[in-house]
Amino acid sequence: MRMLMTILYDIRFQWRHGFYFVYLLVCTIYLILLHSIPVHYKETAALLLTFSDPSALGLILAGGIVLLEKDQGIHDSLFVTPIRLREYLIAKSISLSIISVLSAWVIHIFALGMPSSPFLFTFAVMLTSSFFTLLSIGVVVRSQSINGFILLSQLYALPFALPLLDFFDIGPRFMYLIFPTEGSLLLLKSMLQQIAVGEAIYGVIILSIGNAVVFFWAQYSFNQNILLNMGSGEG
Amino acid sequence: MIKKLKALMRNDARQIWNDPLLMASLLGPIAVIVFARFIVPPLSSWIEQQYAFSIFLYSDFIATFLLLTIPLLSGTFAGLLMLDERDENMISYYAVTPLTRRGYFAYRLFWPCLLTFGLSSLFFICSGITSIRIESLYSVLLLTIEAPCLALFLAAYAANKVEGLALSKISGLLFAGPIIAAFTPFPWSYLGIWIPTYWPAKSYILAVSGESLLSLGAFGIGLVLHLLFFKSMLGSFMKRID
Repeated sequence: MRMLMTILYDIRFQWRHGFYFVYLLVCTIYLILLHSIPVHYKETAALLLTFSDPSALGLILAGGIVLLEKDQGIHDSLFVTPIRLREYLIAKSISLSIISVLSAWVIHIFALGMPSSPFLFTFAVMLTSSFFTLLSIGVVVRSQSINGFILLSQLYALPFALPLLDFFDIGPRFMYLIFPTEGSLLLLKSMLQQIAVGEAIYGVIILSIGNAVVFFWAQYSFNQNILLNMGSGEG
Repeated sequence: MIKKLKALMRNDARQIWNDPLLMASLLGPIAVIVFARFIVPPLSSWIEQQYAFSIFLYSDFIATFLLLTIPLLSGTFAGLLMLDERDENMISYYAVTPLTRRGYFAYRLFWPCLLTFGLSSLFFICSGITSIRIESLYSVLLLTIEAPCLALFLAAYAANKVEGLALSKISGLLFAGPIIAAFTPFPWSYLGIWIPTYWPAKSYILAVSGESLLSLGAFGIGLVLHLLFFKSMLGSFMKRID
């Protein structure tokens, strides 16, 4: 129940700050853009758009939210309530994933129609979104200003863009298998065509491992940089 | 006044070393120039070999697209910095100094203008993918007005840095301007004329195709539109801070 309330609170916060409106506008523009792209490039463009924007929206937005909460001193009062840090992190991931999934579906339905594997497509967007949200939170607790955070988040996220090279058949595939985003791109391909069972299993496993690792890293970082400084005037 | 500005500039110069994004707003456009100069030519040869598709045919579009990153970067950076300082109540602090609140905002908008003017001129001179002609100045001037417009847009319509980040997402959509200017045929290009970023791209593309008079016309319309946008953004912003 507490978890559900935390998620609902986060969704309300994101609604109030115009995230849903912004993404409605962003999706509309993407759809116009996809409409003007020649048919044989449209599917690839839609896949890359889904990977780079709705799926990765948490990378910038989650950090911004945490920085604002830090400035407003919300953490001091929030973490004296029974809420646990893991619930706070999960709520952020799930609430932002909802915007990602809705946007990805809107783009897909209106540009290309129904995805080939709706379940895998949704799963890919959700797990990629939560991965970038948690990465963002791990980064933002190391930043003092919004500008510093933006730069640092791009640096941390850069290695996870490497599987795009594999997407364009540059370099041997085994080099990219360790990146969770290789799993994202593989699973997102399911929006266009059926993918092999082995590929789907690999995609789900590597993305889940990536999420687990980045979750513990974000939890550790938040604990060290925010919770342990609370009350000292730095949190 | 000069003394007060000098103090603020000294503080900013110190901040450049402390705040990585201040540095990035300078280095980002330089990286774009390096990319245009040294990466675009081998990349286009590679694409031509792999896909039998020459992107050199689109070098004017690539130039206008890359040029736009300069005002977007410096404008967004200035807007977010103003929001950050507002969230931390720094603006109230500046307001009671002899600089005054208005002086502080004028100063904050001066930097993106200067950076955009200098770096987009540098892009024309050094990128190797643009043709340098007197009409290039039209695009540089329009881009220079875009940077403070964007900063004001973020500072006027965002209540805090989170909303600023969400709005900066929308400002990324300004890339539609050069896309429409380069690819959209008449009468669909009418959609683009309302996007400020359409005009520097259109003016440049017309100049490159030898239409000097039309390029001047595009600059004239673009200038009026940019000044109207600037006035409207400044109005919204002043209403917000008063």
